[in-house]
Amino acid sequence: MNRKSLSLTILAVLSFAFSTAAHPLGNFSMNQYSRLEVGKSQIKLREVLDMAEIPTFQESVAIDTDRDGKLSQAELNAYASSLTPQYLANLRLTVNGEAVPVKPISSSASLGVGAGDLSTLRIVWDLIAELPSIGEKTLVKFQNNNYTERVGWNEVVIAGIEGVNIFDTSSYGNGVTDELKNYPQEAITAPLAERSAEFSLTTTAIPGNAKPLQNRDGRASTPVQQDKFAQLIAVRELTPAIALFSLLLAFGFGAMHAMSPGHGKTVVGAYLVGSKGTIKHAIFLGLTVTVTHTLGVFAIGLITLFASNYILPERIMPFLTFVSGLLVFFIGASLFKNRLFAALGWTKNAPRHHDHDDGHEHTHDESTHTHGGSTHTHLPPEKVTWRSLLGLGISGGLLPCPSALVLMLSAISLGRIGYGLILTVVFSFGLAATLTTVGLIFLYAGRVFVGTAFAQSRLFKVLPVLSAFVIASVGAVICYSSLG
Amino acid sequence: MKKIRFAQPVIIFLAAFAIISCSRSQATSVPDAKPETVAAQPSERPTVSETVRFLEERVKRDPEDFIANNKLAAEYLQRLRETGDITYLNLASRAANASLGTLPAEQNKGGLIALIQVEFSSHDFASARDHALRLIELESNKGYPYQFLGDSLLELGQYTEAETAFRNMEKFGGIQKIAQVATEQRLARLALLHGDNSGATRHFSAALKIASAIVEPPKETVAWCQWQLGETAFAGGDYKSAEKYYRDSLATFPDYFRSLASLARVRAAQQDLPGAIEQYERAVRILPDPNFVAALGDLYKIAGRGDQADNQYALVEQIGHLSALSGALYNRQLALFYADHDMKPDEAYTNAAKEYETRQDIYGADAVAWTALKAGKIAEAQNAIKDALKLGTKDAKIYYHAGMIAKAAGDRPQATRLLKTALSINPVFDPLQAENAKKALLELA
Repeated sequence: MNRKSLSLTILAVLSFAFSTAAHPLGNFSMNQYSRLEVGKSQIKLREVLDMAEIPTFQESVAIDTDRDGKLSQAELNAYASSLTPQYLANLRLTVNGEAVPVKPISSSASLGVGAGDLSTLRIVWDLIAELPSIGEKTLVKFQNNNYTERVGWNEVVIAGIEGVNIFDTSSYGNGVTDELKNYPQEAITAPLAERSAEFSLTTTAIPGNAKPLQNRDGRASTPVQQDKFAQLIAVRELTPAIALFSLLLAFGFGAMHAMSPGHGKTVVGAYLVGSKGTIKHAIFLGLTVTVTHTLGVFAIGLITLFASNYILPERIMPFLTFVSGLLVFFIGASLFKNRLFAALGWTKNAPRHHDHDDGHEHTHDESTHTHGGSTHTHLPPEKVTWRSLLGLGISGGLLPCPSALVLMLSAISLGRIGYGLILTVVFSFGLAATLTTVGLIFLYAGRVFVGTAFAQSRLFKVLPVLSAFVIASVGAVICYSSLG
Repeated sequence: MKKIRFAQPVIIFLAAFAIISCSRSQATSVPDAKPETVAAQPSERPTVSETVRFLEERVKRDPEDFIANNKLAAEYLQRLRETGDITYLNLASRAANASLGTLPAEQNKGGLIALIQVEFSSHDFASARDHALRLIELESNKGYPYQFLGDSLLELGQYTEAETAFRNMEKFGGIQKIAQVATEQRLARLALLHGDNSGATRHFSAALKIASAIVEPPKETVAWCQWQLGETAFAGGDYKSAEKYYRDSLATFPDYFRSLASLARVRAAQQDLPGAIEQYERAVRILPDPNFVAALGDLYKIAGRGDQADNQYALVEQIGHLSALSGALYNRQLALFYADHDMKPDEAYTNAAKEYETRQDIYGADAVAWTALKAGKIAEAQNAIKDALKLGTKDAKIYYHAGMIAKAAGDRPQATRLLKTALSINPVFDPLQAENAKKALLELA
């Protein structure tokens, strides 16, 4: 696969856009969406062209180059690529009155099923325009002159990244159709006719009398958060110092990313509460997360690149989520059963009597006791099984983080596969480090209470049972949410 | 309860203007003066007005604001006439139904008017007629309900009743200019149907004059009158005048899809094949109306571009297929297309005959006759073509069909007479069919 077609495929997947609904607008319509994401040094543009049934049929003559009556993905990609120069030529972008060239990064094309089983065609372009240095007030004008004579829905959205303030514009900060994927169905609303945008931007505070960029509901538009990790791969020059610094950053990003919701912190914590885990177990857990996450990123990346015609990545994600949830549920349910039985004294040998190496003996009719000068606990369950740890680690790393996926795909596109892989592995280590640390904190937290009055309390005794219940519940919730 | 208001007559007449169905066409050959003038004009669809956005916001905030819904329906219908985009018909339908859902027709005449226009534009003429009769019960001393009634009756082929309705329209129409324009348009239409083409030109000219004299003349109405004058000139074979009117129309309302396509047709009649193709391609880009697409296909065929012709014909079929899913807007056009191109003769006849059961106008009879001939049903064709010719309409295509039917029936003198009449009315009424008429005449000779 050459780099160009690779880029096309990447875009097709990253946009996760595949409309299969019948076209709500007229069958003649040619619909367009433009999104300008304004940064300090560049404007990223996303252009979406959604052709309804009739224009798609009209264009199919040009697309179906092998005249077999079918539109293959290769033909669609070739068509999108051939359309790109003409489409871009009709986009006008000026900064302070000076025309700024808009360059293509990637394009993709996909078919949807419209009315009467006819196809609709969707083309997505990701474009970029380099900005000259931004002053206190920089005026940007954008105009889409494509298909001006055709009827259709035309939508323009402006967004600023953090640190860039946009003001004095009649455009909005959010869209209506989710990039032409969901048109208003029964609303009494004429198609939007937004083909142009004009706005000012600054990296300092906006002037007092200026009107900041708003969403369509009148609320202030929130700036776009940049995916800093995915940007690591795109550095222009890769020196050893930059590479080393990037690796450190990747580790940090991974560690921080694990702090965001998800990733099994609760599950790891709940599992290790009251268990007799060791550092060895924690490291094993971390390694499992790292390996699973790295493999997951690779697997999804490869599917994205080579098999997206057969398996849509957006369909894999819910499946992986379900599997992850199921793993967590079974671990939780199994733990819950064991811990509950143990707490109730229903274990096969309870109450049991055994000798310790130090020669003392006692019966396990109480949870905590002191002997040989030290206090220890025999709270059930005592054992951390490798199998459970493996399951836990897999569930924590199974779902690839979008940032890592974007980075990996970008790495392949840029021909920096090795570097991308290293960054992903280090990112995964960072992710695992957080989870392991959380596990260890929970592990040792239980021991801190030993000998305290809290340790004697009924709550302390049932905590492991409750935590197992939490694990099972979390698993069930994950499974349920993946179905929605 | 909101205060009930009645929609202003001006809006009603404006909205009702161009729901008259397109006329048919005929022709002579005149050199093309400046064909590039129109083709080079900047192309930009008129954007949705601030008024529309304002009204949409109103109904979003208060869905029971039936007055806003009525006004919105009128705005959408106007956009439909300007662009031919069916999206606006659907929107108008929603607005009209929302309005009548809030308040019934008895207290909401504006809602009823919107509904009638939606039904008319959807080719549901019987419902439009019935609702127009209901409107007359509510507003018996006004002219505009008779206009709706007359328009619907005309499409249903009830010509005598339609003429009565238009007389009442004239009687109650009042002195408002916009009402006078509407009346002149109807009188022109009647004149055309009865073969009085010069009378039609007179009435259309009068309509154009009155419309142009209005302070801030309604552009699309003016353009429509100019286009109709062009159609009448073309029907009589006066291609030079036709072209002038089409250009005037496009100068009034740039990218007016009706005039763009008609200009392409007049180019073809003037033997400017490349110019005609270019102009049709442009028209089809703006609005892939099956008539335009089929005509473009025919020109490709004449130019020896068989593959491209086939692509256009396939597109016509797809448009017909899609149309059938959402209504019957293009049924007649599709049936005639099949007959013109010797495709699916039985299906074409069945569809034409089915439509004629409920809509017995002369053009419906013509469609039945032409498709029946292609399906080998000569007797049915002979019966139907009599109905098509009953008003004495000077339409070259009807005479051509009549001539071909007579030829198939073995009536050589009648066939020769009818085909000669067709070609004398409009020598290039259709680039392909006019040639067929000439060939048939040679065979008959």
